[in-house]
Amino acid sequence: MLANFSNVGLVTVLLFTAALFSIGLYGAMTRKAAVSVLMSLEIMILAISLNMIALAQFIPGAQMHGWHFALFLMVIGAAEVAIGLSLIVAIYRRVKTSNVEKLQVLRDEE
Amino acid sequence: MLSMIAFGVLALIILTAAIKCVSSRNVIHGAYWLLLCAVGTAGMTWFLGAEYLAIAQLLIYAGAVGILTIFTVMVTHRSLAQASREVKLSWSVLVLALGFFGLIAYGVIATPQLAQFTTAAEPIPFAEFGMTLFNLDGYTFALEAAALVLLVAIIAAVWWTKSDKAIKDVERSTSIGDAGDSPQAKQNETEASADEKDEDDAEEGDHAS
Repeated sequence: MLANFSNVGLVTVLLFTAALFSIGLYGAMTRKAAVSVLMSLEIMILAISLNMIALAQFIPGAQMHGWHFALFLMVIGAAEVAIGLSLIVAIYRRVKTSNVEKLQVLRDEE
Repeated sequence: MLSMIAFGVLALIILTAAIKCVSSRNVIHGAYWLLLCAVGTAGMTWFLGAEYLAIAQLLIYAGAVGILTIFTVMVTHRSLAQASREVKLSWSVLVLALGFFGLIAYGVIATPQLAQFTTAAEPIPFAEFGMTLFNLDGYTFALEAAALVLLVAIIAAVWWTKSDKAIKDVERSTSIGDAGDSPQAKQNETEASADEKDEDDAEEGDHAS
């Protein structure tokens, strides 16, 4: 194989995924469009799933469990995106904005 | 050495894509950068030795999630002016994110046990992975639970994004909420009753401001 990351080392990968997670964290807390917040959450989930796979590959005997965790994390991520995006569409239909800072009403004003 | 360089290049691509995704003014550009980030992550998963998961990640994140995100941006942002927002650097959040990274990095580096894991194990055959997934002693119940989660997510997504007319019917029957006031919403409710239109016109002032 041309490139195989089998001797990169666990610490390098963990530091990289921590950086990726921090970028997602920054985005989730600063972006104003609801879709952008969800995209930042998506980056965080990508980082976590990469973390799981790295731990599975590098720690002896953990491979099977790590793969399963990564697989279930993917399912949770897909479900979260489906619900999140449909909620954004529903909220947008109702209040005509997807700016999370304008969504401050907890109940309908009649 | 070669693998270190390849890892660095791939990591740089992913981090750049993530930063551009978080910082791009235009939401749809952010969605495209997220696609690149997902493809890069799938590539890294592949080279870490989990080929099957890499393909699944490519299909789910780069395929389904990316396209779904782009479609949602298209539905919720009608004009370019709506899609692009000014992006200001928030120093407090930046400090928080960097502090989080520093904390994790300190934890990783200060744990000497982690440094001994330098070589990856040989990938287990995929058939074995599938056997544990569908084995009653393995992960079958977790798999069924995951399937249930996905089913509930699908039903919830369909429920939330039902057509405007269905929402109008629900609103009429429960008499809560205000109707939409954008031109498109107006078009959609041409067949709706006239008294609702009056409500829209009265509320147009609030939303425009």
